[in-house]
Amino acid sequence: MTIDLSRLTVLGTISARENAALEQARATLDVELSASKEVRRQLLAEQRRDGTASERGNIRRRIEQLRTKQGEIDQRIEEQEASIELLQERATAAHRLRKTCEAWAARHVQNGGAQ
Amino acid sequence: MSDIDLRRIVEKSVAGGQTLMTTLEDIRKRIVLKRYSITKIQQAPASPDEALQRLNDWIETATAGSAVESLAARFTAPGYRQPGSAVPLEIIAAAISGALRDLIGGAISESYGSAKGISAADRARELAKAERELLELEYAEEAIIRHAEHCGIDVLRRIDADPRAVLCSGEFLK
Repeated sequence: MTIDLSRLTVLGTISARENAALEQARATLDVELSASKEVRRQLLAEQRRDGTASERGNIRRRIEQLRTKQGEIDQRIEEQEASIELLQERATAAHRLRKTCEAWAARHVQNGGAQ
Repeated sequence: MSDIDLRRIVEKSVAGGQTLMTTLEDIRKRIVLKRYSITKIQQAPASPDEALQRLNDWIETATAGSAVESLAARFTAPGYRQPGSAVPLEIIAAAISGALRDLIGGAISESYGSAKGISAADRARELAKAERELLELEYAEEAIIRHAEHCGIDVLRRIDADPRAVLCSGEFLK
């Protein structure tokens, strides 16, 4: 068996890539959560509006539109959360494998070079 | 290039990808099974001969010493002093050693049931062999993963992969 310590760098790259994907997914989720909050705010504002009889039709339509939009955002949030769960698993696996290999190399590989 | 040619190329590519993933799955399944067999070897009971030898060694230790002779000497001594009322444990063990051997020996035999014991030498030999085979499987898995990565295919690595395989040089894997 020949040990190639440069593989540790590759494992580090994989770990960083998995982590970046996770961070990206979390950032996307944050955007969706903000959008959801905004739609909820708009929805509450529309529900509080007390318009004239002719305006009420428009308000109802607007509320319907906002509810549809909120449903879509909620769906995306759910999907994004599932995706983050998976990405978290991948990132953890990559991180732990890298750590295990680094610890193994520190214990078994002398002279800091390939054996 | 005709539509048929393109379809064949796509089919070939899909089949190639499927073969790669199927092979990886197969190797990983074999790794799980090999680990299970290693656990079974580790947990297998000692051979009946070894277990009985251990029992005999223990009884011999428990009954060792000169307690019986010393006690007997008391009764023949011209200046007799009656022994204490409590009988020393070694004396009891010596008195019942045969019955003890039969009792525990019988329980040992019964405890095997359908399980087969394994001698220390066989256990060490079988473990070494299984661990060698496991490492070979880990090398094979690593070779497949590196090939996939080389082709730009993202493969999820096992968290508990053997560092000897993960850090192995590409030349060795070939």
